[in-house]
Amino acid sequence: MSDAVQTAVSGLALGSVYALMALGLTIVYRSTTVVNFMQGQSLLLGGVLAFVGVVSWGLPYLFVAAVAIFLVFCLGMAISKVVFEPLLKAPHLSQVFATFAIVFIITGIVRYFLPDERGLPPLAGTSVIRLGDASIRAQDVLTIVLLAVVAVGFAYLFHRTHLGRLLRASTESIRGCEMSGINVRRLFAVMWGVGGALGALAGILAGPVLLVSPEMGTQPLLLGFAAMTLGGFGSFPGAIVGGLLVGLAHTVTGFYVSSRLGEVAGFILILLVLLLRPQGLFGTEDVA
Amino acid sequence: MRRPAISRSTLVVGGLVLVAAIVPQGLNDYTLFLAATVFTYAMIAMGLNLVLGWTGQFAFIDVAFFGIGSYVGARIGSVLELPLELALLVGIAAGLVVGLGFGALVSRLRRYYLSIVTIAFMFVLVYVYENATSLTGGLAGFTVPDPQLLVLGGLEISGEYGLYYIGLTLLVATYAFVTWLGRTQLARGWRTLRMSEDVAASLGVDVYRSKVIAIAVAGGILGLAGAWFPYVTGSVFPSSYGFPQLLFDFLVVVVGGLGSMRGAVIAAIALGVVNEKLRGLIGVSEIAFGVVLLACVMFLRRGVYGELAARVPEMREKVI
Repeated sequence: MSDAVQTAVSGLALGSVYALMALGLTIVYRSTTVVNFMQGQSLLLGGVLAFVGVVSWGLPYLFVAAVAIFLVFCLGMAISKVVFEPLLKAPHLSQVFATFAIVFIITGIVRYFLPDERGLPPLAGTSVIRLGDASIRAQDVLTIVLLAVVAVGFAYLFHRTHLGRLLRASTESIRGCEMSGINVRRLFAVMWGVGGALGALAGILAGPVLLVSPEMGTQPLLLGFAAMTLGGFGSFPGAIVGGLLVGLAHTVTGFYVSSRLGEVAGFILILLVLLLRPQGLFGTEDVA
Repeated sequence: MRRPAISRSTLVVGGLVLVAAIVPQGLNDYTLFLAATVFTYAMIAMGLNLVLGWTGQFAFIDVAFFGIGSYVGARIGSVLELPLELALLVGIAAGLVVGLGFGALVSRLRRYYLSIVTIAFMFVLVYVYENATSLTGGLAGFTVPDPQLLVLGGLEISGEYGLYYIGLTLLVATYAFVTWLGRTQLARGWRTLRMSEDVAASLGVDVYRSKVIAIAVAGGILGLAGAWFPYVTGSVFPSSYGFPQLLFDFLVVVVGGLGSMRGAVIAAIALGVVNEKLRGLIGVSEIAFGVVLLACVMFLRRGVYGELAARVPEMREKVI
């Protein structure tokens, strides 16, 4: 019983990281219709900045985390302004390729300064909560709680605020927005920033488990993308559910079958789901 | 005005092949090995370009099918000690058959769903390569002996010259095939469907079947490249068949210009050489590739070859 609880909790925690990635991808996709393959690098930068701040410079963790998230938010906005605005009228594919290009560049820069794997201490420390026979890491609980906070925050943002209304409008029609006088470029920049911030948060939370290295962002990006697809492209609840499912698949398969299978479990899951239900779990027939 | 019997572009390509056939006499082993390697990258690029560039499907099948070529073609070839031609045929067949099956399963998926499924497929295959140890050699991979050529009476080819010429022959054969393919009705259908599936359907193109055939044919090309490459390097390791290779292949096709086979070949050779030269400098090759890709996206919309071809009419590939 305690095994099941521990596996479930660590699965949900890992899943929360993927859910954060998927949410970041979804928010950029919903507003700009571009799939932001750079999301993995936001996670990477979050982890790297946290490492530098906490391990190399010995600064207080919360302060470092806040600064790191803020910096990545700004970077996201900057990249949106410098790279994507000029490409707004370009074919879709060009915009996606541009995100790839930035992935290469950021990975190269990180690899140049920090080529090896480094460990990151958990934000919640190494304390463990006992639940009967089961031991649950405080870091895992923190991760899940933060996802819940973000999820509720997004739901509120989307349905109760002016900004949310703007976002929903921009996914309906960019031209309509422009005609209504909405500054679409600034909106996009903010959304890119938010996507980046979510990625950085994921990186800080996942750093202890994933280890900080230049490749750190690849799996979370791909699995975040898988989670987003699993839940149905463009669906926020889908992104969260998809992320949690992928995380659970990873830990449950890893524990009950083999850890190696656990690593590909997310991909097997997406293969199965999409072959049986091409629109994903929450997607609509025409979305792709 | 009479059309010349042999077009100018055929002469140029023929000339290049002639040069490529003569030049190696003066080159050292390392350069020959590098050349054989980039020739293989060029074949992979053509395979990926068929799907990504010609049909516009976001199917990143390159590494998966390259791996199938290696793990089926080269594996069977080395275990059963087959002559090279047969091992390559096995690779092509494996690529074709799996391509048909996989294509049939995924060709109804759109855009990004298709891309994640093909990427997931690649990862699952790597898992199989790493863990089905008795079949695949597991994490340690397997080695491949010197190729024996059936057409030369079972002659064993050792040494880089032989590998270079075989690689060059395979590259030229693939290019000729792809060029021929590009002039068929099938390819015209692909180009139309890339532009718009609805338009293609209204013109009588069986969209689904076209997509499946594209993946199957590309699978065959990639299977050929995959079966051949282990003979160049001498061994197969599962780690070579993952995401970094996919990124490189994708970069090559984009820089060369999506849809341009010539661009794909040139970009594969150029970027393959650059990649090798920058191998020692950590991180630099990635930054360089990223900058090149960004430059291509922002300024050279049709890829390097495409932009040049737009300015030099003789370079244009026939697009019917």
